Amino acid sequence: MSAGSHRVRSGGRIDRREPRAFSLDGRRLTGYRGDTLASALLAAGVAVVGRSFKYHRPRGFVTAGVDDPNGLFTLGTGGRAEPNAQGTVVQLTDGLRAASQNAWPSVRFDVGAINSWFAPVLQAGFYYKTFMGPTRRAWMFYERFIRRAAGLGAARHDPDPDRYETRHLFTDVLVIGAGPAGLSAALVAGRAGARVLLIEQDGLLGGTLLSDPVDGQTESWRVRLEAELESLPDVRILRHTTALGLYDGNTVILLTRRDHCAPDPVQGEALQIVTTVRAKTVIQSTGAIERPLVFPDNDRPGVMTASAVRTYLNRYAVACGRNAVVLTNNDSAYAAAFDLAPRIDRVTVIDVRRAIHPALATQAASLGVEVHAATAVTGVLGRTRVRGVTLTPIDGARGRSAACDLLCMSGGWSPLVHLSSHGGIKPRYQADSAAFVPGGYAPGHFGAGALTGRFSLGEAVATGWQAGVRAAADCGFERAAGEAPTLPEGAPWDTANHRIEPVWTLGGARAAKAAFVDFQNDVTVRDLEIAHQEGYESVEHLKRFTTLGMGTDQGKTSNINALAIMAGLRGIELAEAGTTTFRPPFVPARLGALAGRHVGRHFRPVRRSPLHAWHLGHGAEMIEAGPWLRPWYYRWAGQTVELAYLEEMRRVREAVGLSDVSTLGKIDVQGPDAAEFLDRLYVNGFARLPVGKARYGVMLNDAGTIFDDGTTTRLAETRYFMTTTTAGAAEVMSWLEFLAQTAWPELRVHVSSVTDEWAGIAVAGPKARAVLERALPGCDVSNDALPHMGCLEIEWDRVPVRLIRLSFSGELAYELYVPADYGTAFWEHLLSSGEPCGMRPYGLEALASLRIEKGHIAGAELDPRLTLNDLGLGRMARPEKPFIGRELAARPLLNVPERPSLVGIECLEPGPRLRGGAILFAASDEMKGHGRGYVTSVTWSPTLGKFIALGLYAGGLQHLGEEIVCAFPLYGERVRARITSPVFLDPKGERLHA
Amino acid sequence: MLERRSALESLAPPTGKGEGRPLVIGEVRGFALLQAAAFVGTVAALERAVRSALGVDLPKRIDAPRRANGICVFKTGPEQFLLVGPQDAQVASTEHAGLESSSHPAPLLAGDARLRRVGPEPVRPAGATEFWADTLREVVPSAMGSLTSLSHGRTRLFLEGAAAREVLSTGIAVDLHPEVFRCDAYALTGLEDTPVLLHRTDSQRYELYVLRTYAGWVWEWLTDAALPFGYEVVKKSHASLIVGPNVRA
Amino acid sequence: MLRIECPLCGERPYTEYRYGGDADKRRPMHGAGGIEAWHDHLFLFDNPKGPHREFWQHVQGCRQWLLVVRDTATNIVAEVALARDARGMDRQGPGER
Repeated sequence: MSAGSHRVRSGGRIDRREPRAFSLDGRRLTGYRGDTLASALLAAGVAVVGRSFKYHRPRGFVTAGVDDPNGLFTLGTGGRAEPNAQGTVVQLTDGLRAASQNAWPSVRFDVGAINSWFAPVLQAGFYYKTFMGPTRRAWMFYERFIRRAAGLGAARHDPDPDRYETRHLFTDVLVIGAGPAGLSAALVAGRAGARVLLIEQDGLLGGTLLSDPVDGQTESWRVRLEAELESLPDVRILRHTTALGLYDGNTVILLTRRDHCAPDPVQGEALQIVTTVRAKTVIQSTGAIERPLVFPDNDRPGVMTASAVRTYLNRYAVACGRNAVVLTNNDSAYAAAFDLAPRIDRVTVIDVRRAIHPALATQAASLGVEVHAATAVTGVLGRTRVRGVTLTPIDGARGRSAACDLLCMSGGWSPLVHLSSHGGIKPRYQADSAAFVPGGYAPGHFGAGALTGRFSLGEAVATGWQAGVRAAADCGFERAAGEAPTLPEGAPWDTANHRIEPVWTLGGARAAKAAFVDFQNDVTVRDLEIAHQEGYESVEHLKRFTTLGMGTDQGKTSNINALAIMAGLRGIELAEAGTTTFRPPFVPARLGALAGRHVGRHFRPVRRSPLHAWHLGHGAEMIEAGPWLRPWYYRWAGQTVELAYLEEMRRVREAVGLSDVSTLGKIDVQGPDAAEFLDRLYVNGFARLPVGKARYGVMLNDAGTIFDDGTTTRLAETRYFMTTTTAGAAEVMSWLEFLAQTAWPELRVHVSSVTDEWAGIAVAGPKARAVLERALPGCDVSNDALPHMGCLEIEWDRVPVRLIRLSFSGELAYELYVPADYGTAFWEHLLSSGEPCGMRPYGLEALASLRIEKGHIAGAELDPRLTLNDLGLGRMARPEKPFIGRELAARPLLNVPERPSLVGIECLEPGPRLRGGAILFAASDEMKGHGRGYVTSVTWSPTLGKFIALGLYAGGLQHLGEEIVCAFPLYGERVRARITSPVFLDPKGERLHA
Repeated sequence: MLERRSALESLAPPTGKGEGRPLVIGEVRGFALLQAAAFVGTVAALERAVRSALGVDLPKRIDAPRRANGICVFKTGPEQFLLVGPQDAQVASTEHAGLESSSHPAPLLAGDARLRRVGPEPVRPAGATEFWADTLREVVPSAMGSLTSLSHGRTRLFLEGAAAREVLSTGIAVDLHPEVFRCDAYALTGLEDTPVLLHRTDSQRYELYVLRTYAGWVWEWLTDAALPFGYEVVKKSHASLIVGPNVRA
Repeated sequence: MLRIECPLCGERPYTEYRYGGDADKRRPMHGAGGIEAWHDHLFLFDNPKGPHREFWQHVQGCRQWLLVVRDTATNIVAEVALARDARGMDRQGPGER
């Protein structure tokens, strides 16, 4: 068939002056601006666009919208490849490259179609049973073959070059869906003065009106409303935008697709935008979708919903066939029949109802449309394309064949109740329209249009108008909104609410293996019967057993039919059966769109020290430490971390080094009750700490286990300068605020984070004092003036400096704090002053190793499962003074002597290394189970010339000197080691008191 | 004197003058920040103290700042306020009515004229070098409340231009509609999980006070958000930017 | 998305807040109460369907700890107050005012 052969000569909303070249599986085709991929393919006569999921049956488009189960394509190539794109939704753009899926080597000749022969094997429960049942072993064998054969498009591993954006919007009235109801609602709310956000998943406003002839009566109404909406300053319209889900607090997540604009990521243009909308009120005017009918071989290409055929004809100027049969159980399908009749060779209506409205019969006669009442289609001829149908009278007479190349079906309409269901409201069955409608609306939510189960145009406009008035009033806008624009009088098929007679299966379909309910997941009537026989009859079980509705279309066309058939099998009412739970997203969303710009360096907020730029400029290799970027090592000391940190440590132990400790949490504690506050907080006392002195403190949590530690300095009677661990800073700050605000509001104390205010610099090593004497000439930093744990506040060149003598490394050491803007200049001042002493910067790796040699606890040991005693800090506690956690720290099981507690571990073997996380066993133990403890921190000690570690070992230092085994089963390693004191270096502290 | 360096020094070199562009982004330099907080029963006393020392009132709600004499006051908690004022360098060259330096120079230490001893038990607490802040210190005893300098702990950014609102709304979950977030309104909120104070200083101009250590990340994030609109980077000093009827700048 | 109206800052998404646990329980007085009182306070909770009093801190705003009454079934927030002002809060100690 030649390209464009199904295109009708005139009409439609396509622009024939603007052709669009595209390709399908390498075949070059042309459509027009305004086409979807689906309409362009149908125009080109492409009937088979995919193979079904399980049986590889040839499939064509069924609908013209987001509900289409079959027409899935992979668009684009490389990192831009998008699998499972719906051809009915994709806007045709120049150069679009589409590839069909789930078919090899091609959709027309598919090797996998042999699966049809195995249909009995693959029927309902196949996946469920092979996963869950005793045949698991078999599944493991077959899996690789099945996965290759049954599958949708493949995800790519290439980085996605496109940009995605997220944003927040606020509105008084959010109108979801710009059909006649949504347009009316938005207009009246906008006229009333409310801020209105109108969203429409289509590129054009109008909803079902877009399927009316462009020269028809409704078009001028649509154009007038759109123009007025565009003119209102506080009405914002988002096209190509779908509501993915409704969440708490009237929050709606929108997805805007801009694929058709070919956005350039280099220019910052987003391919898709996810918008979080906070709406005061929400008008749901999401419309309804047409249900297929269930009869044997109803999945053949060329079997489509009647409304889709009409849309292709009127909107896209595509006649999907020349000889159409329209099968219906309601009035709405007559619209398709009447619009088709003048444009194609022959139209026959097969109506399962006995009585047909006289007006319809009259119009049919005038258009030459044959109508057969009380008749059903009970079979389809043709495999890759409809060639005819079997027509059987309802009263059971013999059927006959009739030729046709298009079968339009209408089983009634299913309102899109998804959004109200997201909010937790169960849909309700409305018998007169044979449809589930929202069971209610949350406060501030209103329904309008076909969603309410009222399908005529007049009712859509009226309910939309009403919803708009109420929503605006809810937001305080009661300004009179004038009259609704007059609508053209309704067509006969439109005015009487579609007079439906629900029919769920036709023509022996119950016995047929090829009457499909869910096209995408290949679920047949037979599968539902099996589910019923096996007891999987509740809707949620049915879904999981048969995989019904679990495809990318989430069963938009199939769910209601399946539920009705199951209800019939069970002999209960459909209303009683209920529906499965509708969950977001309403349409598939790219993970990239949900991630937005939170990728790469924008993935999460990063904190940088005031000295960051200096580090980068001076050979530092940075490493992530929580939210921070910290210098890991400096290249002056070596090209790899293994070499560099040893050299940096040696410099600190033998001369002097400086490091950036700005990342420590710093908290300004002020107030007349600051001393009492800290006394309650820390296990040790701070109230009697003299002004000008610092003290190491440990905090427990309420449970009596370790929370955080740090050094706190008393700057004045009523002011302390607290430091916390880098990792614990945010937690500690919130905890302090909790205590001050809720537990102890009687204390007059303020806590303020000053982490960002102060740059922190540690100067450590035997020559540290000499460096300070050079850097701060005239400042007495002798042992008498500034003893260990002493503090001085000075101004250097008008810059305030807090100088605290304390040591993490075990060396003579100081921490200097200066206001952050001065950090770099002061660091440089210290460096140049320290040059003659050989001072060099050291990084995090050296910092951590220095403290392990000294046995100072840090992150890995500050474990909330541990107690003070476990860490050998029991003597710090002042139990006569109440402190947080005191009571529960006394729990008996936290105080048994055999608890794992802190030990040092030295490696006894020269070759192998110790590893963090290694499991500890006594030398005589069987190497099994959880052992007696584990290694928390490990380093090669250049000072001692061996691997050393800190760890927790049952019974702790009772086992001093005993030989143990450090096992690392993952690598099959067992290393001999010995329990030592955790303080490997200078146990008397002579260095730091020097 | 040691050089002050912005957290953005290596990230935000000026690219133009920003005239007529849809978006101008930059950093405001040359201001001082002081946090003043009262206890539950001492807000009125703190307000009197601030008024007497600086001639400015404290705002009652977290909605719009109060300002006078070159000081702008944001309320940031039930009894907590953030005072934004000039740095000393600008004070020296600017006449301020009603403000006189009354801070005592700290005693010189022997040996180097640049070194002064200020603590412990400070003659004046280290941490603030602005005399308007010191003026306040003298009238706020510890029983009335606390003062904490945050001049270095916050980086102050601005966005100006027609696209400013849209750029901010990509990361800030506050309704920035001009009728809702009016001129001079401010909000304490989050920008992509970092806490910020957002202040609308003019119809198309917003300022952000961000934690200094997050400033680099926020800068990268904002300029990326601004990419589709096009932008220029400019630098501005505080003195040229104080807005409001009582300002002498 | 759960939204909470901060009494000082206005309505914000929950992402600006930090959850702080059950606020129905009275915290034992500092330094008082034995192991059992603290054990009950820390480890025993009701799990109601319906209104639930809980602590939230507005960490990206005013940093105030709030007492929020949230319906666990609907996520509707019925009441919010500064935790320090909330009735029934544990206000022990000499400085109570």
